[in-house]
Formats: sequence, structure tokens, C-alpha cells
Amino acid sequence: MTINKLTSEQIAILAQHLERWLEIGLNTEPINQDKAKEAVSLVYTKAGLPSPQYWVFLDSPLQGAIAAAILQNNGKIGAQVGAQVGAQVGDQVGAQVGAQVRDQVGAQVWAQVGAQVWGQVGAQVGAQVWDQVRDQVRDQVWGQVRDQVWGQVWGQVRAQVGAQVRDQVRAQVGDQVRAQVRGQAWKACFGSMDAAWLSFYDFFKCNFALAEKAQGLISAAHNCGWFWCFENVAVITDRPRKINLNDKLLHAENGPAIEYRDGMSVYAWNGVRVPQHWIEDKDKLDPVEVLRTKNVEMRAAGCAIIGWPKMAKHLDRKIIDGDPESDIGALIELRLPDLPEPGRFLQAICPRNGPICLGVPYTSDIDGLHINDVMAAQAWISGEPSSEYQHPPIRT
Amino acid sequence: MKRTCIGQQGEVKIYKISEIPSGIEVVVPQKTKRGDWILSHSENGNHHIIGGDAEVMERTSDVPAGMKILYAIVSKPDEIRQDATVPHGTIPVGPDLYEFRIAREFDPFAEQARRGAD
Repeated sequence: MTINKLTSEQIAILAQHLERWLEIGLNTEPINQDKAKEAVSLVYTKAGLPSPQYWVFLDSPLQGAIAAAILQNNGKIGAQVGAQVGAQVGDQVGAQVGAQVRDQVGAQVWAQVGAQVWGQVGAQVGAQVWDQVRDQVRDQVWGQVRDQVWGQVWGQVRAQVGAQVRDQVRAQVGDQVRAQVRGQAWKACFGSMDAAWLSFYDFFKCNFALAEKAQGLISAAHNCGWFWCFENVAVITDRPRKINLNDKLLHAENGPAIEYRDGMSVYAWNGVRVPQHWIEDKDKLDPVEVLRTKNVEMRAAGCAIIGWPKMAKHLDRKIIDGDPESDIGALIELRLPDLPEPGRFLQAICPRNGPICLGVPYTSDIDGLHINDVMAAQAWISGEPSSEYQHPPIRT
Repeated sequence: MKRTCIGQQGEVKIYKISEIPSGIEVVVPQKTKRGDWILSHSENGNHHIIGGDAEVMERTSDVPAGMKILYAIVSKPDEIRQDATVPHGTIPVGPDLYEFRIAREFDPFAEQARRGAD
């Protein structure tokens, strides 16, 4: 029978359900290893696999990804990527490990549970729970915390593992190791940070006895950080000890926005991940370094960290035309070290990102005219002759 | 060809157009896992998208340096959305022909134009 309508009691539960899953996704308590083992054992059982005999507990997703790469290679790269993680994985565990079973415990379970729920729940009811619970948890736990941790693991492997490997082995081997560790960021189960999907399925499990197969992953979300599943061995990592959100966005002005117990940290400014020294040494942050940043959101975050009054003073800003505090903006010149003449920029207010700063050339490649006013700068940015430029009636 | 700018979402400028230019080379752009067309790709996953029901093509000939230009045939009401925690506001688009121009910027250090990326 298809479920086409939620009762008023079930609708009332949605708000509590959302609250509970946000708490799960943003939980910063240390994990209890016994409960974590029990939860991950259930993940294996629900996937029809025997429970692991060997367990590796680590402090952060970065350590977990390194351990998973070691296990994937039967312990062969342990010495190269860090003695600490290598020692915790151990020769015995390395010798016992079987194939990675991420697909069986993850994708296949998701597919079965998804088919069951969507097969029995009407589209309207599905959309109602999806919008009111899953999307809200997803925005904060997945869109902010998980994505930024994932990005940090991905980026830090290059910086940290890459450096360690380079010192010890040839560059080619280093690239292989780095790729293997980074690859493990794709193969993790995200534990508490899978709260978005699981909040959706848990609602139907609790209220309609559907999605029973997801129970292992639901227990893991309650009890684990990221984890990796192999035949015979599981790697379980702790939750962060700190998650700092500014409303819904990761943000911390004087330290890491996410911090793990081994020191792995994510620095973020209004939801944008930024380098550690931009926050920890913000008084010394060089405006030129910020302007050299290719990512526009990150550059906007850097400008906000420094503050535009200081940026303008430090770079001897000259407003050529327009108002930098408007959406049309201003054509400005900034004096940049290493450049023989000032750089020209469009400085404007973006409704989402705040003050933005985009470089423009002195002469347009479209109409061959000098860019001497803000409309010509706007026209060049959208690849049009300034005579045909149309300013958008709405900007979001 | 008549072009009317109807709005801008982040780096995506949206024009209603009377026709899709003839004689241009196009490719099929990428879709998200959920089947939406990606108009502007984001490293952070905060793509600007339009629903998969539209017919979308990316122009590859005569495109100014650093730019990306796409066209869409929209046959039923849709909207331009951003997949982000705090997204740029959506912009509705009715059935019609559209051009999307993805903003570029000039790197004074490299002395070249590049796509505005986030």
C-alpha cells in the first residue's frame, strides 16, 4: 500500500526528527569504541557480510584515509606515509585484510533501501520529508561539515603525505601513494556526517517500518566518525572535537572551524575553506596573496578577513569610476608589487558573497576600446562590447 | 538576433534570445548526478544548474578568451538554481530560448583572461 499522506502526529514529529539528526551530524563527543564496533558490525551484518575480526581506531579522517590506503596495499606503504598510523594498523592487521567492501555496505544498501522507500511512499510524502528534514540536515552536515572535511583530507594529503613521501621515496612512487590515500576519501562511509540521507530513511524506518536495512548505517551515524570497511578489518575514526557554525555556515574567526583530536583542522570563513594562516596570522595576511587566489569565493573571504579599508590603504586603491559599494560596482586600480603598472579591477557588491574584486585588462579584446569606466569593465567580464552591455535587472 | 538580459545569478548572466546563432560549434555540457545541467561548475560543488528537461548546449566556437557561453531551449517553466548551503537566489525561466554567459576575469599577474571560478 502506498503511503500518500502523513498524519498530523507524523508531521509534528518531523521537527523533532530534524533536530535529533542535526545533533547527530554535528556531534563532537568522543566515540565509544565498544558502541562503534557494535554499530559497524551491524553495517556488515545488514550487508550480509561477516563482522570484521580486526579493528583500527584513529583520531581523524586523514589518519583513516592513510590507514585505508595502507590496508588496501596490504601494509606495503605503511613506512612511507607515517609511522604513527602504520604502527596502529600493524603488521598483523595488514596481513589479514581482505578486499574493500564499500560498495556492499554502502552503495548496495543505499540502492535497496531507496528502492523500498520510494516504492512505497507517495511522491508528495517523500518530498515533504525530503524537504523538511533531509535537505536541512544536508545543508549543514553534508554541505558544510562533511564537504569541508572531505576537501581538507583531499588537499592535506597533497601537502602532508606528499611531503613525507617525497622525502623517502621517488617522486613517481609518491604520486601513486598520494593518489591511493586521496582515493580513500571517496571510499569512506561518513558515519555521523551521513546524517542527511539517514535522517530521511530513519523517518520511514521509525514511522512505517521501512528501510530496515539502513539500521547498520543509522547506528554507525550515532556512534562513529568516518569509517572504512574491508573484509576482516574495519577502520573507524573519531568525530571532530569542535565544529563551529555561524548560523548554517562553517565559520571561525580565531581558530579552526572544525578540529579533530589529532590536530587535523579545517579553517573556514562564512562557509569558505581558507588556509590556516589566513585565520591564525590574519594580522600578517598579505593582500596580494589574497588577490592572487584564483577561487573567487576564497578571494572574497580573504578580502573580508583583511577588511576592505585595510586592503584599499595597503594597495593604494584609486577609484576610477563608479561606486564599489553597489552591485554595478566601481572600476578601481590597485598598486601590486611585481607589476610595472597598477592592476585594474571591478570592485562590486555580490548579494551572496559580499564585496568581490575581479581583474580586468586595460583594453577590451571584444571592441578594442580602453576600459576606462565601470560599464566597460562589466561588459568585458561578460564578453560583450560596451555599446551592447545590458546590466541585469535582478542579481542574486 | 534580439537579446534581453533578464538577470544574473553569481557569475551566470542570463539572456532571453530570439534565436540560437547558426553555424556555431557546440558540445553537450556536463550533468549532475541528479540529472540537472551544470551551467557553471564549482570546485566546491556549488554548481549553478538548470533542470534536465531543458535542451542545453555549450558553445565552443568564437568564444572570447576565458568565457563560457551556453544556450538552452526551455520548453516548460524552470529555474536557474545553485546547489549550495546558502545559495544565490533562484531565477525563474519560462519556456523560451536562453543564452548564459559565465563571467570571466583578468589575471594581471599571468596577463590572461580566465573563467571566474568558485
